[in-house]
Amino acid sequence: MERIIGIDLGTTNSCVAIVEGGQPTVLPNKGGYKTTPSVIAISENGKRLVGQIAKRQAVTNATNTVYAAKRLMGRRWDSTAVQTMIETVPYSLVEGDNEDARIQLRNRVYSIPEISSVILQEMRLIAEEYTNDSITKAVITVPAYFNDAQRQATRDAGRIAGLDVLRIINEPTAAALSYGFGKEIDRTVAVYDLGGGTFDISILEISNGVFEVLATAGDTFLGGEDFDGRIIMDWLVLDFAREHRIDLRQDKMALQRLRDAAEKAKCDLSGTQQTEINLPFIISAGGSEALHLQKTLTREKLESLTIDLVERTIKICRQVVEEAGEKIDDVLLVGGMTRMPLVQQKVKEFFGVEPLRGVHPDEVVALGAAIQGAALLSDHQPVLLLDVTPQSLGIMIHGGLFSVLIPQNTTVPTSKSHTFTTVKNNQTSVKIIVLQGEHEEAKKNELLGEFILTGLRSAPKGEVEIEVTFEINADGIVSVSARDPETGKEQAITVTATSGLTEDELQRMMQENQDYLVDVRADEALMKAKDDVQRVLADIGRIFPKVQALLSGSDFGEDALRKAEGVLERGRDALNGNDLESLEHANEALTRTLNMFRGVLQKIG
Amino acid sequence: MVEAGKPYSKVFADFNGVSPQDAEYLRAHPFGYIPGAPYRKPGEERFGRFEFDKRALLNRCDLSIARRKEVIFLFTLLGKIDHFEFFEIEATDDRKAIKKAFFGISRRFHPDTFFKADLGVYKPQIEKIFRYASDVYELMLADATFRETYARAVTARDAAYRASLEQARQAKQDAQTRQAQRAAEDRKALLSERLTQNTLARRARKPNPVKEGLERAKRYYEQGMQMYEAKDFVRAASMFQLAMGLDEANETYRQTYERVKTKANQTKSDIYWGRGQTQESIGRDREAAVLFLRAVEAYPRADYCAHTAAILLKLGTDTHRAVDLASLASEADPQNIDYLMLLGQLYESAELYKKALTTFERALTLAPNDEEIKKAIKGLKKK
Repeated sequence: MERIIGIDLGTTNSCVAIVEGGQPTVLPNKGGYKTTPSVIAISENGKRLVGQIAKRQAVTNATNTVYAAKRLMGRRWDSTAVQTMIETVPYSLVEGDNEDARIQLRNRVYSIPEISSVILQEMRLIAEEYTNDSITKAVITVPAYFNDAQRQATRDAGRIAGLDVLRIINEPTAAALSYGFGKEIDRTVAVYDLGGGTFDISILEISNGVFEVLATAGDTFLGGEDFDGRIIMDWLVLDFAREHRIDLRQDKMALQRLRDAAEKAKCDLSGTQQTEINLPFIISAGGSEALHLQKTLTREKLESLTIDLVERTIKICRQVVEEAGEKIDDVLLVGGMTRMPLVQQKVKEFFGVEPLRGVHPDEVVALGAAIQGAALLSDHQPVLLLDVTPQSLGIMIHGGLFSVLIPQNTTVPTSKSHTFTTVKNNQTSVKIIVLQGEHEEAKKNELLGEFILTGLRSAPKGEVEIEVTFEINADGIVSVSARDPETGKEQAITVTATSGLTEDELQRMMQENQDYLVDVRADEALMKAKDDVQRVLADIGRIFPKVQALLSGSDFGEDALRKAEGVLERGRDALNGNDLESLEHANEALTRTLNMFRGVLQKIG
Repeated sequence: MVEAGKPYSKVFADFNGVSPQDAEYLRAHPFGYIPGAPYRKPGEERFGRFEFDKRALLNRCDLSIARRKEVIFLFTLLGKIDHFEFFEIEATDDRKAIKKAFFGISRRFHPDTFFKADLGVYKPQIEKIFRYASDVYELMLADATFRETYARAVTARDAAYRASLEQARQAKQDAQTRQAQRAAEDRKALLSERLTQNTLARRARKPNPVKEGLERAKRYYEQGMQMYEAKDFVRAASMFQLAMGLDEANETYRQTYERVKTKANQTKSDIYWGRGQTQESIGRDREAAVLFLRAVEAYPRADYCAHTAAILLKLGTDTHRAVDLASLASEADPQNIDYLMLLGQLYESAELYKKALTTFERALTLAPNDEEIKKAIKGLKKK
């Protein structure tokens, strides 16, 4: 059977799940954890580190460790999101060729999809290890409020990781799938998803396996990272500056330590009323004197620092509930941030129902993605998703205004046609600026792309009509096609600008990733051989003195010891080199020697 | 909005029965179209009278024939049937029912349902159906004014449609009744016509019975004349009698008949008389008397009458008849003494002596010297 995995590509943590025997299961990583930090780093020797390992070394390698890359996904360089990130992250951001943001790690510049692909790759490996089979198909989740560029970038990341991304689905929808899967329910459910980097709220109606999204909204720049930021910037850094007149933000390593500590404190406060933040030698105060940071954070303080963030989520909830126009039966909490008591309390207050806690907030999304993946490949769909487009799609019209063609919360897939006419005599091309967002002014919305229709026939103005069809597929991804309604001829569309990757770049990255994969796999075999040789050498080393005492004195014994030393020598040599074959030979010889020594000990000793 | 499909005949005007305000509102709306009649008539199957193109059903793809049919049906009628018929719900149904119907359509037409399947030529059709369904569904849920107007209009249309059906049914029934009446009248007219015809035919068959009768009479007459010339008076007389019966006004026939009648009677009389004489000659008086009587009945010749009377006297039977005959003979020939004598003898045998005496005396006056008469008188006087 074809296997398909569901991946929750989170801002801070990622998770992978698969449907086995009709039941969705979250797959643990090598360390036994069900979630893996969405952190990647390039080590000093140029190795890629992913997950827990990368996170652990972040403090010592802050500038080459990337976290929260999802917040940069599909963002234009000049967007406020990117500009804010530049100031707060320890790694360096650079402008890419397509007006996108890229990350410089050691001497190489990575696009955001490339960075994300490393995490996806890790998820894929977890699944391959678990199933002992190769995995090529995946459903990846994105925040519901992701726009076209962000979805496209996520899809690209999947492709770079060698995954056939069958579907991009929205995280709250996935959570609802996981909640409603296998249940004969007929309910209206609100999914409140506050994750590491994004906030989403979706209202769904679940009826006999059909999951209809009634309305969705969110903020792609509101999540746990912002809560941590409040602890760091508004409290730790501020107080430290007041006390020592030192800006901790200038020191990337200090900033990374603050980040870890703040995250930990925040998590602790979900269970306790107060917690210690203890960071010795946080920074040197000039000379050899070092400064320490030691503070106590209470839940009350945390709540006062972040109450406005929670209120922002509730404001979005209010708007979306109005949009849906249905009574909410259940509220589902998703995302690690919903563990925060203040969040739970505010959600309960707003919806007037006790939020459901039956589902694991970190795992539901991946489970839902796996369920959707399995459903797509099964013959009789147990579930059917009717998702909506989170943002209005439209074009810029005269006067810099935004004309909506497909309003937000329209069920996807959908398409709308619009007829354009020429505004000048003998005009042979038309430029169409496609935007996504809710603002009346065109420029305040997200630019998806500029399309130029060329090869129009020469005619007086207003005579030539071009029918442009805007289509949003089930992934929420936009495509545009144009045709001359008179001749029925398809018009050429030239994409002049997107914030993502060009197809050439994508192909190159896919190839590079393939090469890297081969490298890593060869490396793994070498490491294993070295491990083996080392282990045998150590074993031999432990019993060598005893064997030496027993054998020395006899001619036969001296000869055997000499031969054994030769083997050990060759083993050590092989260990210093990188030749897999000699390592394997050495291993064989060493194992024989070890067995021989053990025999001697048993018989004589 | 919708690609043209197989057209279906339109009997009712669009927006049939819809109030002018609603029709105006709906006409201006991209999804406001309402055909004049529901596609499916009451009691019709899901696909109604829809005719499937066999070849279109056989395109290569992973769908079952039933699914293909549904796709072709809905795609062809997309935008040509009202939304309620499209969703298979009633105009009176609430949002919940619309939702349920849309979920059903989604289950059958959402692209995810066919994720693995090869849809062949049906792919764009299925996509169009789903998009149309979701557009209409969202409009119906979101725009209460539209939904209510549309529902009201379809309800009005349906009422108008049902009324027109009822009217058509009534008209048909009336027509049938009228036809039956007309048929009955026609039958009646036909019968009376036939009656007249028959009468006329009968009349035609006997166009002039008088004339025919006259002709026949003439024929009889002519035949009679031939027989007369051949001296066959008896048969000639019956011919003339026939002719006279058919043409009572004809004097010739009557006179001829009258003339021949005597001759015929005489002939008849003679025949009987001859046969009577034969009987008498061999002594069989009684048989002879019967024949003689017939002869005198046919023609009362005096001598025949006398002879018959005499033989009756001899036999002593039917004296009265004999008296009559003898009187007749005597009246015909009063000078005949034999006749008077016979008469007298008959009176005498009838014991009418006075009359007998008178008769004998008259005979004596005619022949005063006749001894026989004297002897008779003498004998009578004794009595």
